[in-house]
Amino acid sequence: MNCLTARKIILNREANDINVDISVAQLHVNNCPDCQLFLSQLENLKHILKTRLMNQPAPAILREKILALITAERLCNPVVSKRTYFKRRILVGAGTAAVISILLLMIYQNPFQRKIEYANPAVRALAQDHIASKLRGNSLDLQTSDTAELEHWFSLRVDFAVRIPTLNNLSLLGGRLCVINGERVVSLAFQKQSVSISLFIVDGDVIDLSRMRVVDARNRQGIYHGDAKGCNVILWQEKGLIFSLVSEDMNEHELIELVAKS
Amino acid sequence: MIPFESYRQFEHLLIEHLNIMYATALRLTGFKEGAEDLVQESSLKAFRKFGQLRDVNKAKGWFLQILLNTFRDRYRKKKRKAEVVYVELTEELVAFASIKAYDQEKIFNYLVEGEVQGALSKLPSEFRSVVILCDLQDCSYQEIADILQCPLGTVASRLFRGRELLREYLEGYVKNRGLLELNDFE
Repeated sequence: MNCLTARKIILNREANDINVDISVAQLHVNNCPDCQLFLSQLENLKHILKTRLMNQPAPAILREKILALITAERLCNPVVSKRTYFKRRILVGAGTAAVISILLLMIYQNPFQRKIEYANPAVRALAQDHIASKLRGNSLDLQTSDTAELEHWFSLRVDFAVRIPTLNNLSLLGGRLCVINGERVVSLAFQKQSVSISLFIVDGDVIDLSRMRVVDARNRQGIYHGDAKGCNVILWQEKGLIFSLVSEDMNEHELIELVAKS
Repeated sequence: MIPFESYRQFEHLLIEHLNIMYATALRLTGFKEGAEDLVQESSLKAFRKFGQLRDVNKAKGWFLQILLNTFRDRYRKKKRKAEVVYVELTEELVAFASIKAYDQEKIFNYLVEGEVQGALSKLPSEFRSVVILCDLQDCSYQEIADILQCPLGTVASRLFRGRELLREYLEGYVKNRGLLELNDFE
């Protein structure tokens, strides 16, 4: 081994980028006065550096100054305990989630959005049946104002319990059985002065109310509104049944008023 | 927001490593005021970045890395183009380290702190950093490579070249003081 290689190995032993046994290099150095002098000068240089440039401790005033600066930084950027820190993080997260939920709800319930109930086929079917019945001259299956008689008659024809609600200031003309969306439906004809109003009683699964607009709340049940074929249709749910009032001459508020007073 | 426990931990680590930061800064800048400013700025940077320290056992290297980066950023404008030299450990360089025809040990002992610091300050900052970390702060090659974020081979070559230049500068001081005849260097 020559001096050059030995010095490279010795100098780079920590870098470990030469795959040579260091003992061979050390053996060369032990027998080579030139390499010994070279390494001794290197050690001497390090010694000079160490002794002339001795490490000085940081002045106490510097330490205090830095700690004061960090404290000031803390005051600008309040520091809290880990528990409080995570509590706050959770609260902030929950608050953000709540705000996002409210915003989403508002977007979903946007009163200015296009009335999606137009697309509800059940509303169209109810309005169609009301109009058709009127054109046929109120062709009722049973002409009577006796609610008990009508309830009994319907109980033999539909698979749900029929309880006819009392609608103030309306005259009950009679009832008939109709079919909407393939399901049997109770249809009752009312009249207020010369205005005709139909009340439909439908099993709860026949009409999907979830995408209809809520217009009023009554006894924790929503009242939904839709319109089709020039008629106003309001719907509400009771005991698993859907009730619907349909009229072309009364607006939604008047219809709701009738329900509220019943 | 920094959790209170983290703040206390930072304070302990900073106090533990403040001396080595100051000593390194003093040799990098060459004067006390500069070192104090550098340590102060680096400490505040470290406080703001404390969340990035993954392993507290490597805090020494982390503090020194921030110190050196701050120094480099601060003195970047002053850095001369000639300083941006990346020297690999070549055969020529090793051969260059030939034996001088005088007793270096005896002569260098006459040098005082100001002269050694002067020679150190004349080194390009890349070499100066490595010499300070290795020969004054006893950092391993691996620690230096981590601090400077460079390969081990680069650390070795910079160290070698830095020491050679340092020796030349020290010889210059010796010569100026008339401790050696001019022909001793030839």
